[in-house]
Amino acid sequence: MKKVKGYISSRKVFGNFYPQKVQNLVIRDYCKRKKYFFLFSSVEYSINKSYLIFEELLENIDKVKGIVCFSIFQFPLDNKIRNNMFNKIIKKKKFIDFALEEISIKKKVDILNVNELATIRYEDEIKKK
Amino acid sequence: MIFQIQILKDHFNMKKLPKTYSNILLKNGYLIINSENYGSIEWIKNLIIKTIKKNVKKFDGELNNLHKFVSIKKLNKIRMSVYNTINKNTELKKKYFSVCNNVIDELVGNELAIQKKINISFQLPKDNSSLLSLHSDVWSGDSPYEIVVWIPMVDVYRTKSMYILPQNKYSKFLNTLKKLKNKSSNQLYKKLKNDFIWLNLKFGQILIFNQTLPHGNVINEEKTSRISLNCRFKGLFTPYGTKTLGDFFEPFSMKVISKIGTNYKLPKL
Ligand SMILES: [Fe+2]
Repeated sequence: MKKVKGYISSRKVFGNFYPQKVQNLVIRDYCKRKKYFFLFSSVEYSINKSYLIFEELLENIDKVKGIVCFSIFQFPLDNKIRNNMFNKIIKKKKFIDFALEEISIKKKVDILNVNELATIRYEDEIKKK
Repeated sequence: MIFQIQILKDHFNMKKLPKTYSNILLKNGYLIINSENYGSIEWIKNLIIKTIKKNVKKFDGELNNLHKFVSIKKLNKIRMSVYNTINKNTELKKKYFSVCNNVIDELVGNELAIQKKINISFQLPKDNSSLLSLHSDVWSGDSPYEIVVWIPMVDVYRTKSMYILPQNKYSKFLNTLKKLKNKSSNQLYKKLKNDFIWLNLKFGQILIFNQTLPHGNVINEEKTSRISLNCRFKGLFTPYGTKTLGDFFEPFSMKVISKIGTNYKLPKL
């Protein structure tokens, strides 16, 4: 069983607030279906633009096979900044999954697909406003 | 009630203000008291020992020795089982409150909300699976209107305990946070390592702290296990964070006029 670490948010995720209990349930269910061994989640600080906890997960990534996040929208909307964060994981031959969207990044090409999804969704949200 | 305060002397030097619990909390960010009710703290300890024994058949009843009977692999499963069982006991919250009733009354008030479930932590020697790195509870959904009551079930010291940033270092912390905004929380901890205070408590003592101040723990490098409980109290009618009344908190004490007020509805015509 692949050991994974959870990563949840205490800020709004794309304008919506999800209680930590709910985020963990979504991750837990996803891990069960993927047959991952889920180690409990780290919670990002609610301070605006903080990724200090994510950076700590990266420092310790050797202890696990990958990270399972609640959603892709926990990350910056700027593609470049986000790519940088995900590239660090790929370089270490690890993966990052997003439980709500049920997508996984293992290779560079996966990052492009995620960017496409994020951009479409972002544009959609803007149109709604 | 001043006589009950037992502050770590080297961290306490209040010359002008009277030594009330409130002033100590304002100045230091935390206080350590002797339990107001030793019977209650013994009761809580016995409940935990009894519950662990049900889960770990060979356990000798000495909490300091827990690591000799529980593997790190099985630790979280056992912790969750103990957590669920002790929280089913309807006496637990009353006993918990009775160890710090007077202090809470002064610091928070007498209309209270309490955490629905009291947390229990197991920190076995060398275990890196249940660490809480540098954080403030307010950065993950708690409101700044809450106080944490932390009760160790064994003597705690150095890495077997927890650390907190004292109030007088908070502005330094904010500056460092700005400088290290793209780094990890661990790098932030390392930068401020010498500013944190490690809290030494004997069994029977209680730590009450302001959870807006950064705190956390590291790998327990001592030879024995730490078992501790923590629970938040807040004014029932004070603002809630994203951990709200109903999902995380429940009413604990309420005065009659508040009951009348919350049930009152203007007549309809
Ligand atoms: Fe905390």
